[in-house]
Order: sequence, then C-alpha cells, then structure tokens
Amino acid sequence: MGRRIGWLVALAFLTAAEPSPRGTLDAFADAVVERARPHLSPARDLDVAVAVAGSWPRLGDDLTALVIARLRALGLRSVARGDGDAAWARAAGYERLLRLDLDVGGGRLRASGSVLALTSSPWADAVETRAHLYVEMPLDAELRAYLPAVTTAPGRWQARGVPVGDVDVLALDVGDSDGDGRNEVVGVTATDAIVWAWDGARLVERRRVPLGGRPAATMPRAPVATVVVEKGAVTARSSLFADGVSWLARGRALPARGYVFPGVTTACELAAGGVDWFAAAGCAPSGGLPERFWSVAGLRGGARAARAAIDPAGTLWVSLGAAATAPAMPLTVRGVGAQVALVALDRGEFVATSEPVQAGEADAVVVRALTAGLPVAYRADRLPGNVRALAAGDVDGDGKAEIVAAVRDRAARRTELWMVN
Amino acid sequence: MRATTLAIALATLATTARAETRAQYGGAVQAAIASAPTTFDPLRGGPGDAEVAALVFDTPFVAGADGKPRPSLALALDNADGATRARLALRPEVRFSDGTLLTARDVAASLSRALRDPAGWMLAPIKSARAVGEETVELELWRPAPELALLLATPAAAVTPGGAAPGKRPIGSGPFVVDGSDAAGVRLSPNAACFAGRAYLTSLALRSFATRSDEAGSYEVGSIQVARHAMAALDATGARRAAIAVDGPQALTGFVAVGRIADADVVRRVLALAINRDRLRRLTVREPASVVKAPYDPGRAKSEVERRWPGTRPKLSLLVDSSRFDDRDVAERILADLARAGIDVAIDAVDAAGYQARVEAGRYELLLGSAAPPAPEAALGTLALVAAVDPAAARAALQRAATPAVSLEDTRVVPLFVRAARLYVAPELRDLAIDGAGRADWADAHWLSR
Repeated sequence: MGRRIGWLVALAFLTAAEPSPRGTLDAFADAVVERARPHLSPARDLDVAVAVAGSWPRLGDDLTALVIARLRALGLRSVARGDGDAAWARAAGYERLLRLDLDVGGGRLRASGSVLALTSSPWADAVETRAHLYVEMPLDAELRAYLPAVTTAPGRWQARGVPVGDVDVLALDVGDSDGDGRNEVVGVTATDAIVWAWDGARLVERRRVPLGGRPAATMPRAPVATVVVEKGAVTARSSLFADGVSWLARGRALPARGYVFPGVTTACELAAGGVDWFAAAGCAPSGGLPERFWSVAGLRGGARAARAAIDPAGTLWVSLGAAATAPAMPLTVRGVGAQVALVALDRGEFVATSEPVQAGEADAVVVRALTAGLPVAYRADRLPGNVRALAAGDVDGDGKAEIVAAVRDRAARRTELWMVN
Repeated sequence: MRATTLAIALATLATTARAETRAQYGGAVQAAIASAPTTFDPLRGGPGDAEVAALVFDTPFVAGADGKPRPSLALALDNADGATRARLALRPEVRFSDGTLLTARDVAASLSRALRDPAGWMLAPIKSARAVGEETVELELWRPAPELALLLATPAAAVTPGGAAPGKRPIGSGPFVVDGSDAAGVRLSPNAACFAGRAYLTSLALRSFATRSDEAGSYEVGSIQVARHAMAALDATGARRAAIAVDGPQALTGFVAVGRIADADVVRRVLALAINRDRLRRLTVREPASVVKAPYDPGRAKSEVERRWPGTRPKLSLLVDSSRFDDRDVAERILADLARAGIDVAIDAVDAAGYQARVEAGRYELLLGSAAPPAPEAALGTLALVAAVDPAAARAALQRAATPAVSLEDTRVVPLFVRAARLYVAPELRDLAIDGAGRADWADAHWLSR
C-alpha cells in the first residue's frame, strides 16, 4: 500500500515538473484573453464575436481559434468568429465584439484592438468601446513561421504624372472605349465622363459625355462615382443622378442602371439613407463582396480571379481567387484609403490602394503583391495631392499595364493622372 | 428681350471635395451655441436659432463659399432679364423628415408666409408665389430681380410643411432632425431622408451656458468639443486642451440701436461720437474683427448731452441678450464710454427669449445686437442692420432696388464693428465650416476616427 502511494506521489511530481509544451501563440492568446476578460461579464449572458485582422491569414486563423477556445472556457454563452464590422455584429445579435489588428514591427508581433459593447437599446449608444487591448511579444521561430518571406520580384518601379486640368475625377478605368484597338483612360467627375487618349507624351481629351438625367432622390454628402470600360462599352454613374449612362464606341449615350466596377461582374446601388457606401445586399450578384464597401475591383488578365474591396472602416479585403493554394480567409489590411485597383504586370499581380499619409497632407499610392501577407512592393509618396481614383490598364500602348491614379490638388484646382508600373 | 435661364447645373451641388480617405459616419458632438435657443421658426430668433434652423430646413438655393447661389431644393430658376415673373423648378422626390413629400405647394406657402411677415424682408422683390404643378413655383415680382437666386438662399426662404410656422418638434428636409430641446439647448440627429446626404455625426447637442467660464471649463474637461466664447477664459487660465480656431467670414456687424424714445436723434449722435470702437475691438471683440469707420469725439458727445440735458445726466437702459457673453463685455465698455459723455446706462441683461420678444415689440431704450447679412451681398448686410430696428424700411428699400442707397445715418442704428464668428474646435473634428451669417454648418463635420 505504502509503495503504491509512493509511486503516485512520484508520478505527480513528474507531471508537475514537465508541463505540456505551450507555444508562443498560445501565450499570445492567453494574454489577449486576460486583458479582455474583465470586460466580458456577466460571461454567461454574453454572445461574443471575435475578429482578427492582419496580412497573415494562417496566423489570423490560428489566433482566432485559440482566442475563441479560451473565451468559451470562461463560460461565455457563445463565442464565434466574426468580421470586424460592429454594425454586422450588432445586427447578428452579438453583445460584444473583440476586435484585433495584427501588426509586425521591430521584431515583435503586436495585436491592438478593442472590446466593443453592442446594444440595440434605444437609450444607449449602439457601439461603446469598453476596453482597448494591446499585446506584444517578440517574434520567435514559431511566430516567424507564420510570416512568409517576401517573394515579390524587386523590379523597377516608376511613377510619372500627366496633367489633365481642373477636373475632380471620382472614378477611373482604362480600356478601349471607341473600338479602335487602343486603350483610353475614362475618368468620371460628378457630372461628366471624360475620355483621354495617350498621344505619346500626354493625355488628350477625346470626348466628354454629360451624366444627365433625373437627379438622385438622395445622395451622399460627398459625391461618388464608378466607371467601367469593357469590350468597347463605357458605363458610368455618379451619385448626383438617378441613372448612369452607357455608350458603345462612338454611339449615343443611353441610361444605365446601377454602379459597376472594373473587373467585377456585379452592379450595385448605394446603401439607403444617404450614405457613401455600397451594400452587398444591393448588388447583383452579391457573392464574395463585403457586407458594406466603398470600392471593389477585380483582376483583369491575371492567372486567377482575385478581387479586392475596401470597407467603410478603411480595411482592404483581398480574395486571392479560386486557386488551390489560396487561403480560405480573405487577406486584410487596415488603415487604407477609399480607392483600390488590381493589376497584372509581367513581374506579378498586385493590388494598389490609396493611403492617407497624414491628415491635410498628400496621399500615397501603395502597391502590394497579391501573395499571403500582401507585402508592400512599392509606395509612391510625394504625390501632388489626394488620390481620388485608381484604375489599371495599358495606357501608353506598350503592351504593359500601368496603375493609374487621379491625383487632385484641391488648392490649385488641378488634377494629374499618375501612372505607376 | 433676351430670355435668360439661370439653369444651374447640378454639378454645383458637388462642392464638397474630400481627401480620398472618406469621412467616417458616427460619433457625437456637444457644442456651444451662439445664443440660447428660443424658437425653431426660421423667421424668428437670434443667432443660435438661425444656426439650428439652417440645419433643419432647406432653402431653394444656398450661398456657396464663393458667395454665389447654388441650387439646393431648386433645380433651376427661370428668371428672364427685365421680367417680373420667374419660375422655380424644384428637385423631385425630396421628402421632409417625417417622410412626406416636399412639393411646390410647400415652397409657395413658405414663401407666402415670409412675404406676409416683417421678418421676411429679404424676399421683398417677390409679390407673390404660387405652385404650378408638383415641382414648379411661379413667382410674381415687384421689379426685375437679377439677384433672386441669392434672395432664395436667405433664411426667409426656408421651407416648412405647408408653410406653417414650426412647433416644438419641427419637420424639415435639412440634414438634421430635432430630437428634443429645452431652454438651454437642442439635441439633433441626422436626417436619413435628407436628399443632400446623411450628416456624418450620429448626434449633435448644441447648448448655451450660464457663464463663459462654464463654457470654457466644459471644453477643457471634454464635456463639449466645440466652444464659441472660450478665448478669454482660456487666455486667463492657459489652455489645457488643444483647440483649433475656425473662423467664418468677417461679416457680423455689432451695433447699438436707439429705441423709440424721446430725443432718439440726439442719443444716436452721442452714441456715434462717444463710443471708442477701436478700444472696444481691442478689449472685447478682438480678432478677427475690424472697427466701423466713424469719428470718435467724446468731447463733442459730452457737449451734445450738456446742451440737450443741461444740469442732468439722462438715464437709459441697454438691452442685452445674457446668453451672448461677447455682447455683455461690449455692453460694459459702452456703459463706461457713455458715462464719460454724461449718460448713465444700466445694462438690462435678459434671457434670449425675453430679448427676442422685446426686440420684436420694440420695447427697449438702447439695444445691443449683431446683424448678419442673410446672404453674402454687401447691400443685404446694410439692410440687415436697418431691419434690426425697422424691417418694414428694409423691405421697402429692397422692393425698390437690388442695391438700394441706404444711409445708416437716417436710421436709429450705430454700427460698431464687423467681426467673424469663431469656433474653438477639438482637433479631431474635421470639416466644420462657418458661413457668412456666423452659423456653423454641421452637416459635413465628422470625426477623424471613431
């Protein structure tokens, strides 16, 4: 009997002395939950959504799963994966949204975010920030394995601007708009669609089509517009009007319904209530679109059907397409601007976004490779204004696509089209 | 006669140009108001009421930053050269905040009410307004009015349902709706049905304060994010919270007016000579402001008083809105200047509602106030001063000509200074602008991030 007790004691000591190995990401998840826990009470009455955003899908997926498991262990009524949109979480009936952004810098993995309380009570704010969360940890081998090396071919990037006058361009596309076999740039202001052609040194205005018709019943405070040039047809729409216009080659402009986007076979309407975003529910077809978005673009002429959208929180969502290697979770980057374009160049496929540098200063165009992690391949700073629109296509007829950005200097009332490739 | 159509493109609506990072919807703002709220009627009230009315009601046109009229409820104005009949085409499908359709009948009725009311003097060239169909209003004019679009941008042209004076819960088509109000403030929320787009803020509370230090203290502890009268208090204590000054155009004229009293002409002359406008500006009004050019001759003012009232010191009361802190400071200086000239002035500070009632009834001996041009036009600025004491005279003058020759010497008004409205704004609050009438335009204001 005494011998048996001795063995049990020895076994207990051995177990205590060698705990099961715990990974760095486990510790990271523990730290996140430890900081969020005081703000998740009464636990048994709460339905919680967890949203982790970052440029590393596997890392985001694993961290989400670990955090969810730990929160469930705390006795919360329900815990599920969500997206970072508080309006969505509130509509889906969640009482709390735990939102995290992942970031890497200075050899450390950082998560910053918040615990948001969501309520449908008419007496309280719909969304209330209960706590700000911040966790960081040095990158070790385990964490580094989540961060793939940048595989983008360095290439030589160049950016150059061409003035097009005092036109506040809100949307751009590049394509053959007149059936002559050469591409033109089509820009849309709040009231006009303007066709520019490359003459070897500059962009020359070829045609201007007014976007007339019935005024829109409601419109956003700042106008928005979209344009698509596809197979010789141009379809453009501004939020000032109830309908858009469409024309084929040099034909007459006809009314057209819906807002259309380059590389995406969908037509949308702005969400109701005079806001400046589109709702997936107002798009046909609506599959693969974020619930709410400012802009969306698809990849033309690429190896896959990649798609990118920017939601009204300023988050870029990139779906790399149906390739077998594509991750299930869309890639995200927070803090981008409102414009997006996808481009297939000879050195790879890229997503370009406009990004604010600092309030009141000029914007940047940031080009990221369409691979896991969305590594930054090029950044065009020192632009002479704000980036009002982005598109991609072969403007100068050299057989290679360019990213085209409409850059507006409001004070000088001047717009330049910048070409990046 | 060449018929000209003032067909104003919808393009001019799109004046709000933003950086590519769009404004975020959401967030609340608490802000100080120019004067305590007294009414929602766009034809009545003080500067605080005018600010709220501009947020709740729309006008056929609005004055742009460049001073030119651009269409709001209107699509176009057919106003032929030399004609005395004009046609106003309205936007279709505009709705009031209660969901009812805004039609030509509402516009015609609202204009007709303003034509009957003394406060609607800005529409003086219009003889009558009548609806022709659902989306057209026909205006009969007393004279050809090339400035008609600008006049239709004034508060007198604000459109209410059926042209009725608004009650405690006003219904308008503007970017905000009133959720509630009391003597100290107004609570507003965005009007999702506003044709010009939903305002970015989720809620807006405009309130007045008992004292300037209350207002400054509220800003410093973060209870309000926009202050109006905080500078003196912040200067005294040193600002503990960052603020950005946002100035409107220099267009508000501070004045003192003489009531219907005996020897009003003499009192006016004395006021004009005795008040040291430059010191007034330096010590109370400050920048951005300029003084009205006028001779300062306290000796002559004193001899005028001694000649008219030998051996006695006349006693007068100066009516002041107690919710306008700047006016109270100005009143103190005027009191001192007039005391040197031999007139004893007592400051009669009353609440905003009492002030408005007495101004409209003409029950004051001296009145301290400010007048804003109803639209950015110099002639209208002068007429606004006349209208402060005699709206009928302003109406008659504007009915005669677009730029009537009006001499303030012939009125009971003594202009003192011209100033800009200034707001002290939390740095994270963006795109808050002030118009020429000193009203903050909250529709485009938004927080930098939530």
